[in-house]
Amino acid sequence: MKDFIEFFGTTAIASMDWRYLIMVVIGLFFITLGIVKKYEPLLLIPIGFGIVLGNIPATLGVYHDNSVMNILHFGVRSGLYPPLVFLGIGAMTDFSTLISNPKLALLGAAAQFGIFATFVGSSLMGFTIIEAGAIGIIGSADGPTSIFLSSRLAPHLVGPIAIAAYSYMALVPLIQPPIIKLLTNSKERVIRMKPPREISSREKILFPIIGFLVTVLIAPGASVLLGMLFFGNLLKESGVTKRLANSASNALIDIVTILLGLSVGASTQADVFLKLESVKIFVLGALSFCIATATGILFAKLMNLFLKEKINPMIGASGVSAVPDSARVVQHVGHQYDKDNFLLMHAMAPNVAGVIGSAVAAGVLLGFLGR
Amino acid sequence: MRFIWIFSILIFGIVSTTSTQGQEVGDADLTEPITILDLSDKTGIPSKKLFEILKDNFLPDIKNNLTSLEIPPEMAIRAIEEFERVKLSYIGEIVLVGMFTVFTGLMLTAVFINLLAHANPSVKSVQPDLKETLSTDTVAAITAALFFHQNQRDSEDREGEELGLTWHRNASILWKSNRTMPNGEFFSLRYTGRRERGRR
Repeated sequence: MKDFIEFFGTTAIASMDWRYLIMVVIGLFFITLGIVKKYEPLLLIPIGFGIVLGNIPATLGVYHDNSVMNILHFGVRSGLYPPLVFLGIGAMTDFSTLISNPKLALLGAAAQFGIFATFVGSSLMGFTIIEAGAIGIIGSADGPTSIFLSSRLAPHLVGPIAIAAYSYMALVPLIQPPIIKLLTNSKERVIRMKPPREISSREKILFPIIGFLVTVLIAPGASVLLGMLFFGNLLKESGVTKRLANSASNALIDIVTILLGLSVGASTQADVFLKLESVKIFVLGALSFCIATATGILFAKLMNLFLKEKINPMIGASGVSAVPDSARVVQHVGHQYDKDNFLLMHAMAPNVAGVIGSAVAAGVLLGFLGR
Repeated sequence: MRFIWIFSILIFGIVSTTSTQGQEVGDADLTEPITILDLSDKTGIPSKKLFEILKDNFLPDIKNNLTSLEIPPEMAIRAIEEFERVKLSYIGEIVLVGMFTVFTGLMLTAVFINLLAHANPSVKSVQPDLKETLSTDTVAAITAALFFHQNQRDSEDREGEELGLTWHRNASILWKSNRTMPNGEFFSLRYTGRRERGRR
């Protein structure tokens, strides 16, 4: 009996308390969302399982030195995974729509206002100015950028920030449509845009080189993220490095996503994660995301005042860099009002511009607030 | 409805808090030999800004400790208070510079993308010199191929016309012809949808 009690004392059941149980339930909720609702399953399932894994007490977790999870989490702490994810994104992304209609890049810029609005909000809510910078980046709806910046500015907040960023990315289909409908009228929703022109391979090859040089000279703090993004795209478009582009856009990004999701999830141990701070970060993240969506739409309406060929203001919502989910949401909402209006390709332009814009914004915040 | 739900969470979820900056400043033990980076970590003030406030009076070194830089604790505290005073304007400055940089970056990218369109190779209609590129054999082969192609098209057309001319609709009494016509069974299937049994 004594042996049994001793053995029981070593099990996770003996060390389990309500906080860990809550986190396990949250983890299972994420997994359910991924499988049943199919909201970003590639992200939510690794993160959800990571949350469950990290909240089994008496196991060697992320915060135990030299444990396996600790070693895997090194990629998050050091900011190693996000640039690798950006490499894969670059190798997967087709910038043709942006090249064919470059003025839509401004929508990607406008949507970044969510980042700075939340930065101000976080500062006023009691976070230090450095922490506020890390929290604000949730507004970019860009998981890798959020992890990259928070690992640099506020490593102790990486867990809640990453979870908030990825949760809101997964909830794009729920958060954006009401804001789109609220800020546009029925006439604007049925605006049809001219089909994008055909892009030559020469333009596609030159774009990543020129894009990188222009943006990195302005925001050198984002050189790692932008460099990897444009490098990945060059691999894809050059046409002579198909093997490398395939590896970056398939095997590499899959491996990094698994490691990133699992270790970010596992970093949400109840004693570290369940704090008022985390609740505030979640609230600010939602606010940030809503503001980013709204500013994108409003800026599109502003542009329409000066443009001869009107743009559908709904595509402003895809200025947040949740690629390609927010573009898909715009297409879906547009389709409800005009069955023959195909906005997906048009919405992809501000969407990919948003990825660049959020990386630039991260570079600016890092420049001001980093060491 | 969903929007109202999200909005109410945002509004009621925000917990009013007071700044913890002052407490953190109090926690920072400035009598210890700490560097500006340590002080930045403890107070949450960006090291660059802290250095900027202090640099007028001291050496530009953020890695040496305050004592070796001969910065008295009072001066450090004053710098922290100075930051508290300019904090809001500093935040505004970051927002303005940030949005300006993002817009400039993407606008310049857009301008350069516009220029990319000129990088396209101009499509010139090339008129090959037939005398040089085509031998007599090639010309004969092409002519023969064209002839056979045209011939085949003509014969197909002719066949189609003949079919059209020979086929015509005949008025016939179905119930009479049904037994005599070779495709009588087909007709019965075609018009009644079932095979007539026992007739044959």
